[in-house]
Amino acid sequence: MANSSNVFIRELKALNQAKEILEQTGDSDVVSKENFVELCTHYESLLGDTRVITNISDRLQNKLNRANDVLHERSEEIKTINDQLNEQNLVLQNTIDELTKTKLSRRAATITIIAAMLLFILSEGLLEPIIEEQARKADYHANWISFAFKGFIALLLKPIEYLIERYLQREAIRKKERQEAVQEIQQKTKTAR
Amino acid sequence: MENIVLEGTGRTPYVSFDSQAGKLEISGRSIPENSITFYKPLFDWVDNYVQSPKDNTTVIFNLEYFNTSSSKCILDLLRKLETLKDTNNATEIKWYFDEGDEDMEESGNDFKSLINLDIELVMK
Repeated sequence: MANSSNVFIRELKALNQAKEILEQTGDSDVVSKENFVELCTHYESLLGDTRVITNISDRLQNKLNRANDVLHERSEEIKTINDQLNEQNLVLQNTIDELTKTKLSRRAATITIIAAMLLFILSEGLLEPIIEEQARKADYHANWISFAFKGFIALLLKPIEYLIERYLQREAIRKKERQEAVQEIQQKTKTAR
Repeated sequence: MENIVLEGTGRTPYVSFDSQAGKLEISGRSIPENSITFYKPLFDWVDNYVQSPKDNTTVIFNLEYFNTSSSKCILDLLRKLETLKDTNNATEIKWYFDEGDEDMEESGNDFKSLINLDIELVMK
Protein backbone atom coordinates (compact mmCIF):
# COMPACT_ATOMS: atom_id res chain seq x y z
CA MET A 1 0.00 0.00 0.00
CA ALA A 2 1.36 3.40 -0.97
CA ASN A 3 2.10 5.78 1.87
CA SER A 4 2.15 9.39 0.71
CA SER A 5 3.53 10.61 4.06
CA ASN A 6 6.88 9.09 3.01
CA VAL A 7 7.44 12.14 0.82
CA PHE A 8 7.70 14.26 3.99
CA ILE A 9 10.77 12.48 5.38
CA ARG A 10 12.83 15.68 5.41
CA GLU A 11 10.11 17.58 7.28
CA LEU A 12 9.61 14.76 9.78
CA LYS A 13 13.33 14.75 10.42
CA ALA A 14 13.29 18.50 11.12
CA LEU A 15 10.32 18.12 13.47
CA ASN A 16 11.98 15.30 15.41
CA GLN A 17 15.13 17.38 15.65
CA ALA A 18 13.15 20.30 17.10
CA LYS A 19 11.42 17.98 19.57
CA GLU A 20 14.79 16.64 20.71
CA ILE A 21 16.04 20.19 21.29
CA LEU A 22 12.92 20.92 23.32
CA GLU A 23 13.49 17.84 25.44
CA GLN A 24 17.10 18.81 26.00
CA THR A 25 16.13 22.27 27.24
CA GLY A 26 14.04 20.60 29.97
CA ASP A 27 12.04 23.05 32.12
CA SER A 28 14.04 26.04 30.90
CA ASP A 29 12.21 28.60 28.76
CA VAL A 30 15.38 29.45 26.88
CA VAL A 31 15.79 28.05 23.37
CA SER A 32 18.80 29.07 21.36
CA LYS A 33 18.13 31.57 18.58
CA GLU A 34 20.04 29.38 16.12
CA ASN A 35 17.71 26.45 16.72
CA PHE A 36 14.67 28.67 16.52
CA VAL A 37 15.84 30.15 13.22
CA GLU A 38 16.39 26.65 11.86
CA LEU A 39 12.89 25.61 12.91
CA CYS A 40 11.45 28.77 11.31
CA THR A 41 13.32 28.01 8.08
CA HIS A 42 11.92 24.51 8.00
CA TYR A 43 8.45 25.80 8.83
CA GLU A 44 8.63 28.42 6.09
CA SER A 45 9.78 25.81 3.62
CA LEU A 46 7.01 23.42 4.65
CA LEU A 47 4.41 26.19 4.45
CA GLY A 48 5.62 27.09 0.94
CA ASP A 49 5.47 23.45 -0.10
CA THR A 50 1.98 23.07 1.37
CA ARG A 51 0.74 26.17 -0.42
CA VAL A 52 2.13 25.06 -3.77
CA ILE A 53 1.06 21.43 -3.38
CA THR A 54 -2.47 22.47 -2.37
CA ASN A 55 -2.76 24.79 -5.40
CA ILE A 56 -1.42 22.14 -7.75
CA SER A 57 -3.56 19.43 -6.23
CA ASP A 58 -6.75 21.51 -6.56
CA ARG A 59 -5.87 22.43 -10.12
CA LEU A 60 -5.15 18.85 -11.09
CA GLN A 61 -8.36 17.75 -9.39
CA ASN A 62 -10.23 20.29 -11.52
CA LYS A 63 -8.44 18.93 -14.58
CA LEU A 64 -9.58 15.43 -13.63
CA ASN A 65 -13.13 16.65 -13.04
CA ARG A 66 -13.19 18.27 -16.46
CA ALA A 67 -11.81 15.10 -18.05
CA ASN A 68 -14.50 13.15 -16.17
CA ASP A 69 -17.22 15.48 -17.48
CA VAL A 70 -15.93 15.04 -21.04
CA LEU A 71 -15.86 11.26 -20.53
CA HIS A 72 -19.41 11.32 -19.19
CA GLU A 73 -20.57 13.36 -22.21
CA ARG A 74 -18.81 10.99 -24.61
CA SER A 75 -20.30 8.02 -22.77
CA GLU A 76 -23.81 9.49 -23.16
CA GLU A 77 -23.16 10.14 -26.86
CA ILE A 78 -21.96 6.55 -27.32
CA LYS A 79 -25.04 5.27 -25.47
CA THR A 80 -27.35 7.30 -27.73
CA ILE A 81 -25.54 6.09 -30.86
CA ASN A 82 -25.69 2.54 -29.52
CA ASP A 83 -29.46 2.81 -28.97
CA GLN A 84 -29.91 4.18 -32.50
CA LEU A 85 -27.78 1.37 -33.89
CA ASN A 86 -29.83 -1.20 -31.97
CA GLU A 87 -33.04 0.26 -33.40
CA GLN A 88 -31.60 0.24 -36.93
CA ASN A 89 -30.36 -3.28 -36.33
CA LEU A 90 -33.87 -4.36 -35.38
CA VAL A 91 -35.35 -2.76 -38.50
CA LEU A 92 -32.64 -4.39 -40.60
CA GLN A 93 -33.26 -7.78 -38.98
CA ASN A 94 -37.00 -7.46 -39.63
CA THR A 95 -36.32 -6.57 -43.27
CA ILE A 96 -33.96 -9.53 -43.62
CA ASP A 97 -36.59 -11.81 -42.04
CA GLU A 98 -39.25 -10.48 -44.42
CA LEU A 99 -36.91 -10.95 -47.40
CA THR A 100 -36.10 -14.49 -46.32
CA LYS A 101 -39.80 -15.23 -45.89
CA THR A 102 -40.59 -13.86 -49.36
CA LYS A 103 -37.72 -15.82 -50.85
CA LEU A 104 -38.94 -19.02 -49.18
CA SER A 105 -42.56 -18.36 -50.30
CA ARG A 106 -41.36 -17.97 -53.88
CA ARG A 107 -39.35 -21.17 -53.64
CA ALA A 108 -42.34 -22.99 -52.16
CA ALA A 109 -44.56 -21.68 -54.99
CA THR A 110 -42.03 -22.90 -57.59
CA ILE A 111 -41.88 -26.35 -56.01
CA THR A 112 -45.70 -26.46 -55.87
CA ILE A 113 -45.99 -25.52 -59.56
CA ILE A 114 -43.49 -28.25 -60.49
CA ALA A 115 -45.46 -30.73 -58.32
CA ALA A 116 -48.72 -29.62 -59.99
CA MET A 117 -47.19 -30.10 -63.41
CA LEU A 118 -45.96 -33.57 -62.45
CA LEU A 119 -49.37 -34.49 -61.04
CA PHE A 120 -51.06 -33.19 -64.20
CA ILE A 121 -48.76 -35.25 -66.42
CA LEU A 122 -49.30 -38.27 -64.18
CA SER A 123 -53.07 -37.87 -64.24
CA GLU A 124 -53.17 -37.28 -68.00
CA GLY A 125 -50.73 -40.01 -68.92
CA LEU A 126 -51.38 -42.74 -66.40
CA LEU A 127 -54.61 -42.18 -64.52
CA GLU A 128 -56.79 -40.82 -67.33
CA PRO A 129 -56.72 -44.02 -69.42
CA ILE A 130 -57.43 -46.14 -66.32
CA ILE A 131 -60.33 -43.92 -65.28
CA GLU A 132 -61.77 -43.94 -68.78
CA GLU A 133 -61.54 -47.72 -68.97
CA GLN A 134 -63.07 -48.23 -65.52
CA ALA A 135 -65.84 -45.72 -66.26
CA ARG A 136 -66.65 -47.41 -69.55
CA LYS A 137 -66.92 -50.76 -67.81
CA ALA A 138 -69.16 -49.36 -65.09
CA ASP A 139 -71.07 -47.23 -67.59
CA TYR A 140 -70.21 -43.98 -65.83
CA HIS A 141 -69.37 -40.59 -67.33
CA ALA A 142 -65.57 -40.62 -67.43
CA ASN A 143 -65.42 -36.84 -67.81
CA TRP A 144 -67.04 -36.17 -64.43
CA ILE A 145 -64.74 -38.57 -62.60
CA SER A 146 -61.70 -37.12 -64.34
CA PHE A 147 -62.87 -33.58 -63.60
CA ALA A 148 -63.47 -34.43 -59.92
CA PHE A 149 -60.05 -36.02 -59.65
CA LYS A 150 -58.29 -33.01 -61.20
CA GLY A 151 -60.31 -30.70 -58.96
CA PHE A 152 -59.16 -32.69 -55.96
CA ILE A 153 -55.52 -32.30 -57.09
CA ALA A 154 -56.06 -28.57 -57.62
CA LEU A 155 -57.52 -28.23 -54.11
CA LEU A 156 -54.49 -30.00 -52.67
CA LEU A 157 -52.05 -27.49 -54.19
CA LYS A 158 -52.53 -24.71 -51.63
CA PRO A 159 -52.05 -26.97 -48.54
CA ILE A 160 -49.01 -28.51 -50.27
CA GLU A 161 -47.56 -25.04 -50.87
CA TYR A 162 -48.22 -24.13 -47.20
CA LEU A 163 -46.52 -27.29 -45.93
CA ILE A 164 -43.51 -26.78 -48.19
CA GLU A 165 -43.20 -23.16 -47.05
CA ARG A 166 -43.34 -24.21 -43.37
CA TYR A 167 -40.72 -26.87 -44.01
CA LEU A 168 -38.39 -24.41 -45.77
CA GLN A 169 -38.85 -21.85 -42.96
CA ARG A 170 -37.98 -24.44 -40.30
CA GLU A 171 -34.89 -25.41 -42.27
CA ALA A 172 -33.86 -21.75 -42.59
CA ILE A 173 -34.26 -21.23 -38.82
CA ARG A 174 -32.20 -24.37 -38.09
CA LYS A 175 -29.49 -23.18 -40.50
CA LYS A 176 -29.40 -19.77 -38.80
CA GLU A 177 -29.17 -21.37 -35.35
CA ARG A 178 -26.31 -23.59 -36.52
CA GLN A 179 -24.45 -20.55 -37.92
CA GLU A 180 -24.96 -18.63 -34.64
CA ALA A 181 -23.67 -21.59 -32.63
CA VAL A 182 -20.57 -21.84 -34.84
CA GLN A 183 -19.95 -18.08 -34.49
CA GLU A 184 -20.33 -18.33 -30.71
CA ILE A 185 -17.82 -21.19 -30.55
CA GLN A 186 -15.38 -19.26 -32.76
CA GLN A 187 -15.71 -16.18 -30.52
CA LYS A 188 -15.15 -18.25 -27.37
CA THR A 189 -12.08 -19.85 -28.94
CA LYS A 190 -10.72 -16.41 -29.86
CA THR A 191 -11.31 -15.11 -26.31
CA ALA A 192 -9.65 -18.19 -24.80
CA ARG A 193 -6.55 -17.53 -26.93
CA MET B 1 28.50 8.19 -12.29
CA GLU B 2 25.93 6.07 -14.07
CA ASN B 3 23.20 7.64 -16.12
CA ILE B 4 19.56 6.88 -15.43
CA VAL B 5 17.18 6.03 -18.25
CA LEU B 6 13.69 4.83 -17.35
CA GLU B 7 11.08 4.16 -19.99
CA GLY B 8 7.74 5.80 -19.33
CA THR B 9 4.66 3.77 -18.43
CA GLY B 10 1.02 4.66 -17.97
CA ARG B 11 1.78 5.64 -14.38
CA THR B 12 5.43 6.66 -14.35
CA PRO B 13 7.28 9.22 -16.46
CA TYR B 14 10.15 8.76 -18.88
CA VAL B 15 13.35 9.70 -17.07
CA SER B 16 16.71 10.43 -18.58
CA PHE B 17 19.46 11.74 -16.31
CA ASP B 18 22.70 12.10 -18.24
CA SER B 19 25.62 13.29 -16.14
CA GLN B 20 28.03 13.58 -19.11
CA ALA B 21 25.67 15.84 -21.05
CA GLY B 22 24.41 17.58 -17.92
CA LYS B 23 20.89 16.95 -19.11
CA LEU B 24 18.04 15.81 -16.90
CA GLU B 25 14.62 15.08 -18.34
CA ILE B 26 11.32 13.94 -16.85
CA SER B 27 8.44 13.52 -19.33
CA GLY B 28 4.99 12.03 -19.40
CA ARG B 29 2.65 11.08 -16.62
CA SER B 30 3.73 10.80 -13.01
CA ILE B 31 1.10 9.01 -10.94
CA PRO B 32 3.07 6.19 -9.31
CA GLU B 33 1.45 4.23 -6.51
CA ASN B 34 4.39 5.03 -4.29
CA SER B 35 6.05 8.25 -5.40
CA ILE B 36 8.94 8.15 -2.97
CA THR B 37 9.97 4.66 -4.15
CA PHE B 38 10.06 5.97 -7.70
CA TYR B 39 11.77 9.30 -6.96
CA LYS B 40 14.25 8.15 -4.28
CA PRO B 41 16.85 6.86 -6.82
CA LEU B 42 16.46 10.16 -8.71
CA PHE B 43 17.07 12.15 -5.49
CA ASP B 44 20.19 10.08 -4.78
CA TRP B 45 21.41 10.62 -8.34
CA VAL B 46 20.91 14.41 -8.09
CA ASP B 47 22.64 14.45 -4.67
CA ASN B 48 25.66 12.85 -6.34
CA TYR B 49 25.44 15.02 -9.45
CA VAL B 50 25.44 18.32 -7.55
CA GLN B 51 28.75 17.28 -5.96
CA SER B 52 30.49 17.51 -9.35
CA PRO B 53 28.08 19.03 -11.86
CA LYS B 54 28.70 20.04 -15.48
CA ASP B 55 29.25 23.75 -16.14
CA ASN B 56 25.86 23.91 -17.81
CA THR B 57 22.97 21.83 -16.60
CA THR B 58 19.67 21.60 -18.45
CA VAL B 59 16.62 20.26 -16.68
CA ILE B 60 13.50 19.49 -18.69
CA PHE B 61 10.08 18.87 -17.22
CA ASN B 62 7.63 17.81 -19.89
CA LEU B 63 4.80 16.46 -17.80
CA GLU B 64 1.29 15.74 -18.91
CA TYR B 65 -0.14 14.99 -15.49
CA PHE B 66 1.19 14.25 -11.99
CA ASN B 67 -0.35 13.42 -8.65
CA THR B 68 0.01 15.33 -5.38
CA SER B 69 2.85 13.25 -3.94
CA SER B 70 4.73 13.57 -7.24
CA SER B 71 4.42 17.37 -6.99
CA LYS B 72 6.13 17.18 -3.59
CA CYS B 73 8.87 15.00 -5.08
CA ILE B 74 9.34 17.49 -7.96
CA LEU B 75 9.63 20.28 -5.40
CA ASP B 76 12.26 18.32 -3.48
CA LEU B 77 14.12 17.59 -6.71
CA LEU B 78 14.14 21.30 -7.59
CA ARG B 79 15.31 22.16 -4.06
CA LYS B 80 18.25 19.80 -4.51
CA LEU B 81 19.05 21.52 -7.81
CA GLU B 82 19.04 24.90 -6.08
CA THR B 83 22.45 23.90 -4.79
CA LEU B 84 23.75 24.39 -8.33
CA LYS B 85 22.88 28.07 -8.15
CA ASP B 86 24.66 28.35 -4.83
CA THR B 87 27.81 26.97 -6.47
CA ASN B 88 27.41 29.32 -9.47
CA ASN B 89 26.80 26.57 -12.01
CA ALA B 90 24.63 27.57 -14.95
CA THR B 91 21.29 25.84 -14.66
CA GLU B 92 18.55 26.01 -17.24
CA ILE B 93 15.18 24.65 -16.19
CA LYS B 94 12.46 24.32 -18.81
CA TRP B 95 8.88 23.59 -17.85
CA TYR B 96 6.95 22.49 -20.93
CA PHE B 97 3.16 22.63 -21.20
CA ASP B 98 0.65 22.04 -23.96
CA GLU B 99 -1.01 24.99 -25.65
CA GLY B 100 -4.19 25.72 -23.73
CA ASP B 101 -3.18 23.62 -20.73
CA GLU B 102 -3.45 26.42 -18.20
CA ASP B 103 -3.31 23.99 -15.26
CA MET B 104 0.16 22.79 -16.20
CA GLU B 105 1.29 26.35 -16.96
CA GLU B 106 0.06 27.55 -13.56
CA SER B 107 1.74 24.59 -11.85
CA GLY B 108 5.01 25.67 -13.47
CA ASN B 109 4.43 29.18 -12.15
CA ASP B 110 3.79 27.80 -8.66
CA PHE B 111 7.11 25.94 -8.70
CA LYS B 112 8.78 29.04 -10.07
CA SER B 113 7.45 31.15 -7.17
CA LEU B 114 8.89 28.80 -4.59
CA ILE B 115 12.21 27.74 -6.07
CA ASN B 116 15.23 29.98 -6.27
CA LEU B 117 16.05 28.96 -9.84
CA ASP B 118 15.15 30.41 -13.22
CA ILE B 119 12.35 28.26 -14.52
CA GLU B 120 11.42 28.95 -18.12
CA LEU B 121 7.83 28.13 -19.06
CA VAL B 122 7.74 26.84 -22.62
CA MET B 123 4.57 26.29 -24.61
CA LYS B 124 4.85 23.18 -26.80
